[in-house]
Amino acid sequence: MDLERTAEKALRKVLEEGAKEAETYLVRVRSLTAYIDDDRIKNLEDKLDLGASVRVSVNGRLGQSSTTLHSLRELEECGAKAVALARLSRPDPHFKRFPGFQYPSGTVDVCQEDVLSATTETLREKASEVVRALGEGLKVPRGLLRAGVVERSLANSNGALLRERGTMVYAHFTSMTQGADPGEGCERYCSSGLSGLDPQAMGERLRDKAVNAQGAVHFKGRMTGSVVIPPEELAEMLLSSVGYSLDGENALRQRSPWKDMVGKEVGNRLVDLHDRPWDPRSSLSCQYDDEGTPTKERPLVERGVLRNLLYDNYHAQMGKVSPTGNYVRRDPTDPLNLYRRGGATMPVNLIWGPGGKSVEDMISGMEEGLVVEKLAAPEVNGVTGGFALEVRSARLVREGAVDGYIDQCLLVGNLYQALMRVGAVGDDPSVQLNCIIPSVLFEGLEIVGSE
Amino acid sequence: MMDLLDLAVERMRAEGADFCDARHQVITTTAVAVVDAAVKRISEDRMRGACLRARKKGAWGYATTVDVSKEALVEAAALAVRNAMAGNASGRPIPERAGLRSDLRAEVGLHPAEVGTEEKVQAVLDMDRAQRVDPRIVNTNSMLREEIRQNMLVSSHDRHLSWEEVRSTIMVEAVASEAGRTEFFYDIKGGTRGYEVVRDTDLEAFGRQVGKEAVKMLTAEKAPSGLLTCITSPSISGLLAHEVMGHASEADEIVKRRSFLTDMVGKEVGSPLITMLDDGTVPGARGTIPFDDEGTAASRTVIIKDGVYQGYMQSLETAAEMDVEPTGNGRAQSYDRRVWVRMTNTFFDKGDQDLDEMIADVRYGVLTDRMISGMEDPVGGGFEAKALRGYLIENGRVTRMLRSFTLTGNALEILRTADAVSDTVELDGGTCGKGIEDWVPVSSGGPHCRFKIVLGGD
Repeated sequence: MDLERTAEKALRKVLEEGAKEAETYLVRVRSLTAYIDDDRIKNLEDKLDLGASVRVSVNGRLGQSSTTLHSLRELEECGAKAVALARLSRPDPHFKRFPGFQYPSGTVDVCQEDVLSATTETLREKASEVVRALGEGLKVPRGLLRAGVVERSLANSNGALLRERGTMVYAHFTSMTQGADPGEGCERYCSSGLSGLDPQAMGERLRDKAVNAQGAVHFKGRMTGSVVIPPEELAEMLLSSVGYSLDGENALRQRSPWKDMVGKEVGNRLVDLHDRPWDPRSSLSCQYDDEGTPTKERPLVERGVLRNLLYDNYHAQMGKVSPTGNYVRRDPTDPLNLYRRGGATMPVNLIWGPGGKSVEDMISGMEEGLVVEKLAAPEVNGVTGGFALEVRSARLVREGAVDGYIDQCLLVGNLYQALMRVGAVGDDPSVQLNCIIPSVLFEGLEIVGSE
Repeated sequence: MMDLLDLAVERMRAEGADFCDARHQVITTTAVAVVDAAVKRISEDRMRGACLRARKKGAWGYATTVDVSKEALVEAAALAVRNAMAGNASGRPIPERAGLRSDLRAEVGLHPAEVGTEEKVQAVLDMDRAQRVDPRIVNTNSMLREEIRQNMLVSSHDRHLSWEEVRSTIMVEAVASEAGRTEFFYDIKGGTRGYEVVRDTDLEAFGRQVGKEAVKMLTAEKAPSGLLTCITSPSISGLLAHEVMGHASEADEIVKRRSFLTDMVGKEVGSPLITMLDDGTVPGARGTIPFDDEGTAASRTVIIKDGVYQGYMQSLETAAEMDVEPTGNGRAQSYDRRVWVRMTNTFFDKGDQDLDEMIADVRYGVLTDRMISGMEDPVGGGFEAKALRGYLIENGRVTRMLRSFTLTGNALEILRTADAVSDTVELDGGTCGKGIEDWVPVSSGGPHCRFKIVLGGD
């Protein structure tokens, strides 16, 4: 099935059904996954997915529908359903039209040959190499290595027509020491290609993390100090807080702490955030977002000052601004069922520019604090910025030196306030989900243990 | 379709699978979302596809496809077996089971298909408008979501099953803001029920109450930190049951010796007041299923009885490994996701105390209210639960409201401190991931329980 022609054909059909404005979005995916279970290859999966989403406006009323796609008849039924639902809706106060055709602002190729040619055998070998690299006395209880090819095509009644193809790779492995009271480690890899995945290095990091976690002691008491958060934990903290506040819809609906903050300070001078949608290392990089608006590099927070919020097409019309090309349906960890997902407005790739300090430099300058290795669930309340996160493993630092590993305590603070107290930015950026960020040291966070 | 699944199973057997099954699924989801009194989304999503799963020695091969023609299914069947043969995991064979034929429709009060969309849109608009109880309410969000799953399964154990699952959910969330401070509150109702979820609810009162509670949150104070006496509300009790004790009782973690509950059967793991169950047969609960995704009927599994550990939740594979019966816990998110051991409705059983009596005995502590999220830790047994809010208890009385905080500690140590359990169990519906993906509908809950837990909040 030619996605572009099918998208156009379906669009014409939906307009014939009575839609005044319409958009058809088709996705075809091949996804391969190798699952490790107790050091062995447990599952090998080969999945084909094809589906479509249709959004329509009928006399100012909006409706949408999606379907897996085996035949054109399913697509026609999907379009007819969207039109029928729109007729049952209420007039929308903001929507006028879908984005018109625009030439791309930049180019990126995220179609990596090593993924296009990959087979389940390729993944099997790579995943097994990670396991071997752990060495004796440890195991990988769970792991997965996934590679996907995502083709998407979009047509709308305002003239937008696009087709992009990209590749994605996602790996997630846990490690574990053997025996009583085991320690656990975790490593993640996100990219558009396989070549950046070094199985030996990943296996060694997994080994070190599990061994360190096994030796951790429960933290007692409490302290307020400096805390270094590594990229793999910071990414989710930023996406759940800064990502929430950058979404223009949240500002328009008065539920964002950054609703009146463009041009004002939201962090100290070390906070430097950008959206860089053409970085070839990230699998979400693209020329057009998932509703046909060209993506564009833009500053978000420069030296602590908020420069831009992000808008999809609908909320740009609501706010009487231009859409920024940040409507994202895709997920850097999982390429399946994209047509079912409602898009979210977010940075395509959230970049925190690297600083000049290594984590060792940061440690040497700390009086008292932690270098986090693993948090249970690094989520922040986006509305308030508050967080209290269980530390599964961290290095305790006293007077500029590491004083062992600790666990079972809470890291407590407010992310929006913490951005005002960034003490140092690391020189170790890595791709984590749709973020490319380094380790960051925050001052004045609270650590609460038992007793 | 059943005959095509039969063909696919035959092909997998012919290709050399020791065990295999073929699943076909149609999932139709209808959603109406209203934001600030305007319809934001009205949608219907339909997924249809098939999963072919083959086992050779201890390794599985999967192939899934949205093309459910005979040719595509047979081709996928062969691919599934090739993938299984490429794996190198070892494992005991899955014992033969008696064949079974069944065709079940969902037992709901009012099937969602029998209610017009216009009525549904109006219901969500009504819930949304009702939240505007105060000028400090700056944003309102309301949603109705209905999911109908038509499942069909054929396995090499001569299981020919088809069944329907229906789930309905209504949700409201209000955001309040004043003097630079913003807070939110929410409420959810639903389960394996039909449109009676809406018809049986006073939508005006449902929305209004959430609006009022969001405004009250603006005065909530910072929670105390440290080891405290804590009365967990049913939703937080449920997080302890589900996230820590539940995930660690999934038998795949036991087979791998990854769980801190490995080899614990017969041992004391908590106060004698603690009994815990996973029960996939609770009428109307969100995690209720007639069969799991391997064709095993759902059942009631006693995990802890009077503080003593009893046993694990099983799939076909783990039951074979441990030489026990499967418990109906082999579940998958959808046809295109893997099957592994998952919970259904997981909860602590009721005790015999009145909540007011439990509060009266506390000199200084916290009563939790509403959860935000929790996180599993089957290896270490660590507990993390985020509460949306709570109340301070001082000298046996509930005093001030507390804003969002987190509870943490070692689960077994927490369970040993239980000294009171209330007489009423409530279940909260949700969606559970394992590791980082594979989301299935579940519920969790329990009574109010009084523990010693470490708290911290901003």
